[in-house]
Amino acid sequence: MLGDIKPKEATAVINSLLGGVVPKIGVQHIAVGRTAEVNAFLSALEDVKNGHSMVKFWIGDFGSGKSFMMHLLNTVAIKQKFVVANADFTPENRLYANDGKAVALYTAIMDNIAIQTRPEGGALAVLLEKWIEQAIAGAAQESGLAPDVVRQPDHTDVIRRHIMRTINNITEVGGFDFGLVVTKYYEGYIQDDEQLRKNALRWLKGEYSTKTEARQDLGVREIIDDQNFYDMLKNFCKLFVSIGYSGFMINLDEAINLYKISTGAMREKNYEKILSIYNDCFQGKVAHLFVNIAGTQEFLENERRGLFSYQALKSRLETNKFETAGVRDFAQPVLRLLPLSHTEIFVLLQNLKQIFDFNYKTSIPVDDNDIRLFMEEIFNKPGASEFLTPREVIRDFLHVLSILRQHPETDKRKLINDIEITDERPQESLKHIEEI
Amino acid sequence: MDGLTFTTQAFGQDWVAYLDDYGVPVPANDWLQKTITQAFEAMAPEEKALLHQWFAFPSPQPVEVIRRLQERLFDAMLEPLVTQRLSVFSTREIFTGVIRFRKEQELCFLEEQSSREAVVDTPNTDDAIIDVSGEPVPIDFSTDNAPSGQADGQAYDDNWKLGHQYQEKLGLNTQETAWLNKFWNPCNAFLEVEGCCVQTIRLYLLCLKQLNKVFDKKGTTIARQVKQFQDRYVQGNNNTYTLSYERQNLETHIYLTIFKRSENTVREVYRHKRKISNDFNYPVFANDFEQTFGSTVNEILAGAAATIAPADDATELLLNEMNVTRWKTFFDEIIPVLNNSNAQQVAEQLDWLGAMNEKNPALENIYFEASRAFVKADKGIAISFYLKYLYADLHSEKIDNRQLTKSIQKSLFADQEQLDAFEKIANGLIATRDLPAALAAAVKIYEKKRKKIELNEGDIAAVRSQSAETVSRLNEILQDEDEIAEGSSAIITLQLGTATPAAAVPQDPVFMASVQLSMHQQELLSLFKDHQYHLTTTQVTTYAKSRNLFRNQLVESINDCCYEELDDNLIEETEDRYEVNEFYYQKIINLC
Repeated sequence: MLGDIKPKEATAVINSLLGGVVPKIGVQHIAVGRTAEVNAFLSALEDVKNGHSMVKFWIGDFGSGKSFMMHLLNTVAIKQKFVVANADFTPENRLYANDGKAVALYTAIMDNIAIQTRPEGGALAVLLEKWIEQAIAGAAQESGLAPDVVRQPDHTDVIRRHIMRTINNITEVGGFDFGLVVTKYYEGYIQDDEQLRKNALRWLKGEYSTKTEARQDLGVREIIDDQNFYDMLKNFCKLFVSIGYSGFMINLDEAINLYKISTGAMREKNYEKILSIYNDCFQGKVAHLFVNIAGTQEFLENERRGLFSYQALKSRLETNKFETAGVRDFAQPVLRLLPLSHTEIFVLLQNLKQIFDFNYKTSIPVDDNDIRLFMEEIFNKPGASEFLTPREVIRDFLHVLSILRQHPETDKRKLINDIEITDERPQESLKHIEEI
Repeated sequence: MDGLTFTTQAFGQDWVAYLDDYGVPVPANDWLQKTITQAFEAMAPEEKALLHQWFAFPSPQPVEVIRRLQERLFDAMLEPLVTQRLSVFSTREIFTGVIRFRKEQELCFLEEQSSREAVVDTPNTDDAIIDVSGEPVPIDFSTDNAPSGQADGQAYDDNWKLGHQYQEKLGLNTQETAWLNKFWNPCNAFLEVEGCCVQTIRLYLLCLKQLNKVFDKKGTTIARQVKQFQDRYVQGNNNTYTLSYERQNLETHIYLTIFKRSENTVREVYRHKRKISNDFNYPVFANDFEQTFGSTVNEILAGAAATIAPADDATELLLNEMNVTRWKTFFDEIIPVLNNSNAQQVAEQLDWLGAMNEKNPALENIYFEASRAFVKADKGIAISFYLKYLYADLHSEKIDNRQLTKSIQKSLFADQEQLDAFEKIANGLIATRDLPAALAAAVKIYEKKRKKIELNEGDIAAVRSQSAETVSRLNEILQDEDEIAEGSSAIITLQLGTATPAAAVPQDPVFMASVQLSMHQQELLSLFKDHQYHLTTTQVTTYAKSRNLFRNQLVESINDCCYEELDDNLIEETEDRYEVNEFYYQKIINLC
């Protein structure tokens, strides 16, 4: 079963899961019980690669595996040549605002842009340079100059003109300033002006707060702000695709923070923005864009504060009325992550035991019956039905294996009996959010 | 009584004063007076004569004997009055009963007198002298030298006094006994409880000792103060017959009032709601009494309340039986501190309260209220108290079978299964009256049912198969090198305008065929090799600038070219330099 796992994947899986986080590599080996969801997002990725756009809502309660799925999605998307960006909604980051909170979300997205060779983020400059190299090649071809020649400072205008023209072709709103800033970035490099390059990057990341400052530094009239950041994301999406990437995937987690916005009107504006993105994607107004939003059931279904409080979204996101617990429809925009069944957790723990043995080149004397007993013990702990998550089950199981590996003489039954579980849910209650 | 002759009017007035003393309401009209008069008139002439004779003065009876007789009459009439059964007939019966009692008493006394050899005459004791010997010494209560003829009767009636009753039991000294013998035993339900009576006596004696110390500082004593008090109010009374009586009466009431105040303090500490009147019995002298004794006594008692010993279990049982709502005071003190962490301790306190109210007909209410109070803090304890309530209710005079409200039931029982289990236990208790069994069964209602993990081989195989399928599909995407490498080479060619096919560039060393590097890329890698696979950022920047290339893009393009082969980055960027993984380098030049 695990014949195809690599040693470094096994190490990453065990070390990360012991630390309670999703592993960077080898994550596919622990994707148990999510076949339908995996197939759904692979199919969605394929569609986006082919030029469609998509918005998916990953809905599940605390510990249902939203973050795990997002991570898996990331890993697969990066491998499939997607540019990926992750950001969390926070009280300071949202989709619509008048006080800089929307552009803060944009900045977070741009800071976290990742590609295969930069999976940890910070790939904006690399992508920009890639695109400029492409533009230089295009300019050389167009002007009939040799590539090395066109790079000479004498021919900067040729390149600048080509950049502007290409940008104008691929962008819609704000294309002129966008092209101008990319040109500035190129000029900064040619003129060895590090500050100019930094300023250009600052502008592209939405870090200019005043137009005056941007005009002084770069000579542009506009800045990226709360109102136009989504247009810029669409521009970047086109730019990435023009470099040769499959598309731009944006993952937005912790959507409950939109639910928590205390002003009804502001909350509604944010939902309106989601609707606008949703419509753009599904009406074909934008290509190769894949937006994933992860949140709890409360965020989606609460009729007073959730997405369902916004009628236009409710009618789009309501569950397929023919869907049942047994017959699921994973083609819907809303993907509900149901808790793993006992059988699925059992298989997952079996897999982990094998990965653990493989990683440490050992054979811990824990058989299927021990795994069942472990599950029985942990699921019968006080509070287990309320707050026990797969994360804690996995971590405790690996801790038991870890102790048994290092101290083979330890009584495994005693270890299993001594397990204590804790409530790791966020402490703040959603019931007492003040409505303004 | 007017002239100490039995007249119905005087008797009525004295009785009203007696009732006032005990806080019993008296009808405002003259109904009481008429009832007494008609009852007296209805008596036989010889009975009337006897009453006149006993209450006449001078009388062969000592003053205290007359008072005792009078109080007996008062006591006998109190209960019919309170219960509204007092009538002319019952009043006449009471008079007749007292006459019969006195006759029997006289008869017994004469028989005893004939058999007794001698009567010990004890010297007069000054109240200021405190006996520290601890030996019980008989004392004489009369302030005057009583005629020898009275001594026998006095000794006989003195046995009713608290001093004599408790002298040995409490190891009282002469002075303490004398203080307690200053008045007749003020019988009431509270003092009938021995624990209460003992504590009242102790507080009374403590109060008098402290009062004596206060007076001592002023150069006087209680006895002298009493004497002065008497002197002030007998001035002008030249009737030698009544003078002695008045003096004695005043002294008795001074000590009795102090005793009553002590009793009220004990009542308060013991949370006995009913209080007795503790005003000085002579309204005319009340202010003088307060100035001389009362205010100091009140201060002493307020300070001495803490010295009163807590009531023992026997006392608690009797007090709770007497005062059926007394438990509420304790209950209201216990419950407010109840929370999730101290539920067991609070339950123990309530169990003790229940035990102390064993004889209280309201016992069931304690358990019922306790069950309601524990709903939020501890469901198990709440239902155990409800079962105790049922048990107490079953043993009460009237079975109320009060039910818990629906909302409480909802809070107590998470599902129908728990409710059914509880109803079964409650019905079992009613049928068998076996409380311990019911309580033991109740504990199990909230015991967590251990979940069995049911695993089906078929399901496991299905999940495993699906999982393997998913892993395989994901592996295909994440690790298929050829397909992706093919696509990426096209991008790399585009990225670098100067890129030339690998074959066209003189390569030394020779890179793998799948890794198509441009001349600049190969040169940079050679540079790395020449510098032990390390280059500073400046060195790479200089190299890139010299070829009019972007530094980041140059490094990333090399990584991009090699990624599919290595599944990792060949060049790692650290803070201020770049490093080439030597192992990977060897791999791409076909040495590995």
